[in-house]
Amino acid sequence: MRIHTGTPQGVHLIPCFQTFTKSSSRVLWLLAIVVLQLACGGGGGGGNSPVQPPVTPPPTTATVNVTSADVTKDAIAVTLGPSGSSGTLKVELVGATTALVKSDTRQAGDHTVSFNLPSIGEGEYTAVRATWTVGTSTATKDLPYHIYVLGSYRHSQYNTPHEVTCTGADVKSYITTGQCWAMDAYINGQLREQFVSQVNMNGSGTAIDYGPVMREFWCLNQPGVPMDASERSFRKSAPSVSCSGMALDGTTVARCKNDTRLNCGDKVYIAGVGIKTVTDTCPACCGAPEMKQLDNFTADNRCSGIVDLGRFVTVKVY
Amino acid sequence: MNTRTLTLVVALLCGVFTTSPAQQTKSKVLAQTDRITLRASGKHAQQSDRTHFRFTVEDRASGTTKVIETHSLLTAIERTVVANDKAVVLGSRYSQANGAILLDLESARQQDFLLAYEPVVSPGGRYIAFKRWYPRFSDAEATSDVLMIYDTQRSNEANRVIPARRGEAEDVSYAQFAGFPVYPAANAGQTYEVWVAEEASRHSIYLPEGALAATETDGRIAFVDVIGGEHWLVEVDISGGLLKPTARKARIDLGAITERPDVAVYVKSLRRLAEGTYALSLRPELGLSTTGVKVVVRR
Repeated sequence: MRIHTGTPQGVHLIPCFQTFTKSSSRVLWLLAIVVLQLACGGGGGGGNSPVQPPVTPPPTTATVNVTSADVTKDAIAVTLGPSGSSGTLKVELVGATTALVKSDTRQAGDHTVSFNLPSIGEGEYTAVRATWTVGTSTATKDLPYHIYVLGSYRHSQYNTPHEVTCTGADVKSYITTGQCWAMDAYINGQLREQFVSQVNMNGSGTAIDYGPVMREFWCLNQPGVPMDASERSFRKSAPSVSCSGMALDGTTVARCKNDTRLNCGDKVYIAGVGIKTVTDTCPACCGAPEMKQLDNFTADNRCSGIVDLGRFVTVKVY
Repeated sequence: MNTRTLTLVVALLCGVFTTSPAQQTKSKVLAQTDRITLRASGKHAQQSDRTHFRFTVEDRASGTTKVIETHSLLTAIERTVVANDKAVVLGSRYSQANGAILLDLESARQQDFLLAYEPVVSPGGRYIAFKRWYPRFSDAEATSDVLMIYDTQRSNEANRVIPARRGEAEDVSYAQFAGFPVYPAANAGQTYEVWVAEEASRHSIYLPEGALAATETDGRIAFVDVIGGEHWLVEVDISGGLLKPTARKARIDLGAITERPDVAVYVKSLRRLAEGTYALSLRPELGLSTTGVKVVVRR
């Protein structure tokens, strides 16, 4: 309640003095009212209540929510409240171990935080945790999110070369059908020299005249093999992947078969490259330190010059 | 310091250099001992798909410098071990193969070349253990692993169990049939041929750190073989000769050591404690409360 100065009629009186206004001497009463009004605390509505302390705002209650996480978009979406507050935001990946993603000062509102993958330790994580501290108030929120940070991997490439991209003179070759004892088990053919060399190393290629061929091994260990059949015998057969029934294309990768972190059908996010599916094995990848190599299939069918994509942080996504 | 100690000084340099088509790499130190410095540069030839490596051997004891030129199937050198007047240059050819170039530093020539998967050199530099090579696109039946041993103190011919067509050192078939098969028994000491029809019977071998720690002293190689999903610790004894290896093994009881049956175990390293007894160190990031286990192998 506020007190207004002016004519007595306009005075709004505090309740404990209202009865005095009906007495005889208006002037005296007005004086008395002013004095008592001052004694009552200058307008407090509670009569003889004590002097009030300065008003302080109620303590802020921090609120936080992790609304989404997507490592393939390098984005963790966090909403911080209440509006107008400021504090420290800490974002972590939580699993058998906890990895700090980011810790910094933020204003309330919506934020997108990078996974900061290069700084994240290898390991399996099952949640994204945001901790928001405003003054003495701390709020924490976990969002279930399952990834396995595999670390920095070498990403090599493999293909099936096409003979048309190969150089060199035609050289004598044998085309086989897998029927090792048949009369026509070894058909005389001609293949480009570089193509023969590549298929011997790679195991597979596409011949101009015969279509997909693989290096022949089985028949070479059976009776009746031509004396010069070694390294020049190729069976009409298309290559297949070690994961039964799965694809072999630009979206697939091969891993060391002893790498227990990756199995057939697993999806991996290759930072800066994209998501690929594990469908094959790569024996040479087992020789990489800690088996940290994935072989990326490419539709580029050049006879040579298929080089590495590079090294990238690689994450198994679920 | 005796002669053996002097000659067994092994240098290991883990730097990798890779050649891309028509790119000449700068000369780089591959390995250095108290006597030898080995450098290399490489240039890949698109036409032949071979890499011309030029190795320079600086011998501080004699004050001589020798050059060894090779035209290699390898496209990258990953690490090099120098010991006993030999250099084992380990590398890879794209993702098609790992391999090793064996240099005789005394005569300054390439002694041999072998195609391999996961080659590892014994601590004193004498043996190279590796998995038999096959093309990356092969019949699944032909991809069961065979453990091979190459003895750098023997000649090329004495490192092949079947007479091989003597071609250039880096002919694919000559290079792929180098070394002695020592495991499994079906191949040991006799054949490179592999045809395992049943998937559950195929071998998947890996050599943890320490696998060759006792090879030169006691003739033992210890490694892990995964057969049909079961993990086995295998010890091969080559003390009776590379043509007569014997093996004994013990199943690694995963149920007893991991509370995460959904996560396959991986043995990071092993250490021989006593005759037939090994301490295995498991890969730590699996979230296991136990990261080590003792295994005793039996015949």
